[in-house]
Amino acid sequence: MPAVTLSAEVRTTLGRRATRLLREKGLVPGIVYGRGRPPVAVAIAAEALEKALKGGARVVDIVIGNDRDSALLYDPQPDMAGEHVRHVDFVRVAQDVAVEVAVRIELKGTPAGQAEGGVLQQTLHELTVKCLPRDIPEKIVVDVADLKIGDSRRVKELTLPHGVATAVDSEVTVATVRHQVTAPEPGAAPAVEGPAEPEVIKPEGRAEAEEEAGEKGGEKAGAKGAEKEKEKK
Amino acid sequence: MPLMPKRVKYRKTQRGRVRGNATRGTEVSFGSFGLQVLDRGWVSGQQLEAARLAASYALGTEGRLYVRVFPHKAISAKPAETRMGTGKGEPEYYVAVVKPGTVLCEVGGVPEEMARLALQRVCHKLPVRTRLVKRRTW
Repeated sequence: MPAVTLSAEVRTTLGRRATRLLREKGLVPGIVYGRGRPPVAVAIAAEALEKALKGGARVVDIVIGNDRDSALLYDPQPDMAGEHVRHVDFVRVAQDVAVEVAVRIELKGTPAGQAEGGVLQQTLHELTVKCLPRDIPEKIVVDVADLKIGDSRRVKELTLPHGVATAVDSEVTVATVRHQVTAPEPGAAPAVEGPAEPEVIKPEGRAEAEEEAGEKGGEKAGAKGAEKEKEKK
Repeated sequence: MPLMPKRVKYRKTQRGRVRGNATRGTEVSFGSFGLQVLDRGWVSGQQLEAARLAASYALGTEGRLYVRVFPHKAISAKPAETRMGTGKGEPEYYVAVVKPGTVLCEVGGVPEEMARLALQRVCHKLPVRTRLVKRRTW
């Protein structure tokens, strides 16, 4: 992955109104921090940032005036539609200090169990790895071609690139092939009907009071009934 | 039987207004492809059930469908030819409140063409505009 350089300018006006105006100008607000130096609020060109993100850049060179830092692109916040970035963090990193980053997991191959009616299900989509900034892999490819129904691929079975380690529990499942749960046929008998209306949750005190009232009512009604029977006799 | 809550604290709710955009549930989190809502509105339990069935038939024995919303809100109505007054009507059906950005359902374990077909069938059953979204890679 070639090194990406992003130039940023220092933001002096902070807050919701200022950042909204920035976004209208085609800039993205961000912050640079880490390595024991004070944080700096910055603004970056949205186009360049989005190009870097879509290109898979993880560590970028950020230029602020005369300063040049190597920084990890961290926690880019997408907007509601997921098309643009609203804010981004840059964590200053040293090239000889390991960092923790989440790397995308990509499944490769068609599992053998799929031919038998199984369904491949990916349960872990990102793996947190620890490595030097220059060793951050773009993705981790997992071969699932030999998985039969009921088989799983776990974290301990992954082959990580040299210099990359993970602290994720080795027993965590990455992908599994499961039996397909078939949908009911059209026109088949409907499932067991539940109640037409949900049960109403009553506060504890009220529920008890009502129960007591019900019991007393029942007793009274019982006593009245006995009296009436006596009168009849 | 359409979807509805099993237990509720209050039987009837006020209608309210749907305002703003979704801030949660806006990402494809379980599958690979999702259907993102573009309008504000209500999706009833019946509509969700119809959508689920449409996707199930389109997917056949492959892949998995994840429905990300649930109809929690009770909508009451008065019977036909009833005079006004005498209080609020009885709960008639339940709806899920959706806002622009909500990922309504997701499909995983199938190639894009098949997911596209299934989600297209789903969107025909819904009262809101939608679009197909993929899992974000950044």
